Amino acid sequence: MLLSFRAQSSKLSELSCLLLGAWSLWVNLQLAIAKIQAIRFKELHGPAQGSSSAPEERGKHAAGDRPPARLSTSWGREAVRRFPAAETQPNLLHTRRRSRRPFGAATFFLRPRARARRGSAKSPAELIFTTPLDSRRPATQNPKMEKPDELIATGVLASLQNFIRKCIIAVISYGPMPKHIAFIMDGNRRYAKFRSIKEGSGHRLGFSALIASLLYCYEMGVEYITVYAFSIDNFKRDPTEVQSLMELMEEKINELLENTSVINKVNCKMNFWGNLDLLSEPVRLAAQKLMASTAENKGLVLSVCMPYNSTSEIVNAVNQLCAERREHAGNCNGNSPNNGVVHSDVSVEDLDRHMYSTGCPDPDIVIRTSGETRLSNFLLWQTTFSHLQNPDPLWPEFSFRHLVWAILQYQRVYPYIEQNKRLSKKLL
Amino acid sequence: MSQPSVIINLTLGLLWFIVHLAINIFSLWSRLIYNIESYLISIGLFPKYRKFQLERLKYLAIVVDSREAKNVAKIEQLLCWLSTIGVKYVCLYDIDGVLNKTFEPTMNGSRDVDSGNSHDVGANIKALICCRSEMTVEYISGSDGKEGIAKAANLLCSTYFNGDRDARGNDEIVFTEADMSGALKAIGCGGPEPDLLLVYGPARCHLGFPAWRLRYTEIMHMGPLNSMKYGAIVKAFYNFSKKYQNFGK
Repeated sequence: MLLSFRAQSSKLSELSCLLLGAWSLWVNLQLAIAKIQAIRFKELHGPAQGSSSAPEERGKHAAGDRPPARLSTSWGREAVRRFPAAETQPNLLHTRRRSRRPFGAATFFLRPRARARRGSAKSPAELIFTTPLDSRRPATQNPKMEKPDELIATGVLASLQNFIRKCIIAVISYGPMPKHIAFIMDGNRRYAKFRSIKEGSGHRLGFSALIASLLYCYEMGVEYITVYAFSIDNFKRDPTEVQSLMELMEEKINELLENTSVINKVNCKMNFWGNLDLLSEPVRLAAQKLMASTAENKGLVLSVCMPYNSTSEIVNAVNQLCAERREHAGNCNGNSPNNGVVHSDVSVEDLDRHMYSTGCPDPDIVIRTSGETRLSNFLLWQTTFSHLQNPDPLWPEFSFRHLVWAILQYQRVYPYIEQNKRLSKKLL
Repeated sequence: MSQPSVIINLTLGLLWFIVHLAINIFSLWSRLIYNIESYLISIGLFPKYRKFQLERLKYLAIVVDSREAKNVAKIEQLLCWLSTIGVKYVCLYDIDGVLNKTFEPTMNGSRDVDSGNSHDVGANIKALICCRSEMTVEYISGSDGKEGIAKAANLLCSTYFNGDRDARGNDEIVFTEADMSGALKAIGCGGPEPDLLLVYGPARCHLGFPAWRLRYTEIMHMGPLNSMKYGAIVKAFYNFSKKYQNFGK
């Protein structure tokens, strides 16, 4: 027995030596890569230009000097790079505290230091398919150069995050996945207020969060996304705020028209649901142009509700149905419509055909951020069997982990919802 | 299927099962905390739950899962609790119409004139005198939801086609939300908009509650009806009293 104990303990000590050796090898490898990158960086760009070091930059909060925002997720960083928010401030979206760090020298290289870039020209391939080697940027395009260790950290960490994200998606995809997710993007103004930044910046960061969520949903295989961008009730807000929102929408739609990298990546078909006549001319034209340019795409369908009310959608469907019946009656009877033509009663299916959402399945999940519990006149007709969720984070803070949690909650109640759908179909 | 893919599939399935098992354990734990809190609230341990204002809650709606709605004793107990708290108007809804069928024989004949005129809800209401105070109870079902809107649309369309053609001429049809509200009232589906909707069931779904009455309603999930707690209702009302709505502004 003593002999077997000795044998086991010797095996354990061998294993621990092996592990220690592997860990030290890994740390040395990281140091070597860092040194090589530093040498090559210096060769390319000369001596370091900025005098401010990372800890000082992190401490700066003055209005005149604004280090770029830090985002906690890789698609979030991509979204801010692609659509730079000019008024961001440091630590803007960093909501997670990174409490666990590896030991020793590796800590320095693996600290996340992703920074948003302002005005950097990037190709679509660079935008979407960032690898560790591609993450270096020429210093001439960015006055605040990243240190080589930050670049390495960015690249290595980004790959690791991508890999972990793919693993998580593979695991949750084993269960039933929603086909259609609807978002009520609530909390942008509160976010700006809590962070003491301009109100418009909250909406800009909200747009970045939207693009990030769109890309995450695409990776997960969600086919339809609907977002509540602007309600008809929101026209009651301060006119300057409404005007700035309209300008932001026009700007973002035009950006999407010019740089179609995100749309091409997910082969996105864009819809704009709502009473577009209430929008100003440039916004309406831009929206119609974007819808026309993406009409043939067969990938993910993004429906943006602006300006939208569910009750106005129902009334619009009734109007269209009546117009259709009048036309049908007119065609049947020549000159005088409705002369002896008996119409069948209006059915639920008749109204379904004339809703904005015709052709889209009903939402499986409706997520309203900021913890509010009401639907605010959003998709009331289509959400009979939708799982309503109201996570506490504000919309600009909504990230991959919140989306994963939402889908896991949906998977828990999926059997109940499917049973109800089957029973209601039987009754019909 | 090749062997590696089978192994990968099984591994993913096992991981998925473990994740959901962990979530279920976590939710059991939070359910336990919730039940303890509800019990403490019901015995009056927390002062803030003893005194809160119910003025904002004029109309309450409750959505019940149809299978659980067959438990008449629980429904009666729930109504009694609500009456004790001081709720004046309750609208009970289930998608299959079980509540309508169960409580219809016990209704007081034709519509109550006063409340019927003020709310235009039709014949399926009764004045419930229970526990201490009077409370109006309305029973609606899935046929008052989408089908009710379809009937109202039918009424509007037939009014248009059978109406005075000379006056309308060839104008475009433009019904407004006010027209729709009027049509819903005319067919008996025009009840008041609830301020708060409590969902009793395994999931937080409104299960087809009439869309026209759900616009700005706060929706709170209370869990299954079989495990309903008085303290949970008090907590829901307290949370509702703290809510602030800006109605889009």
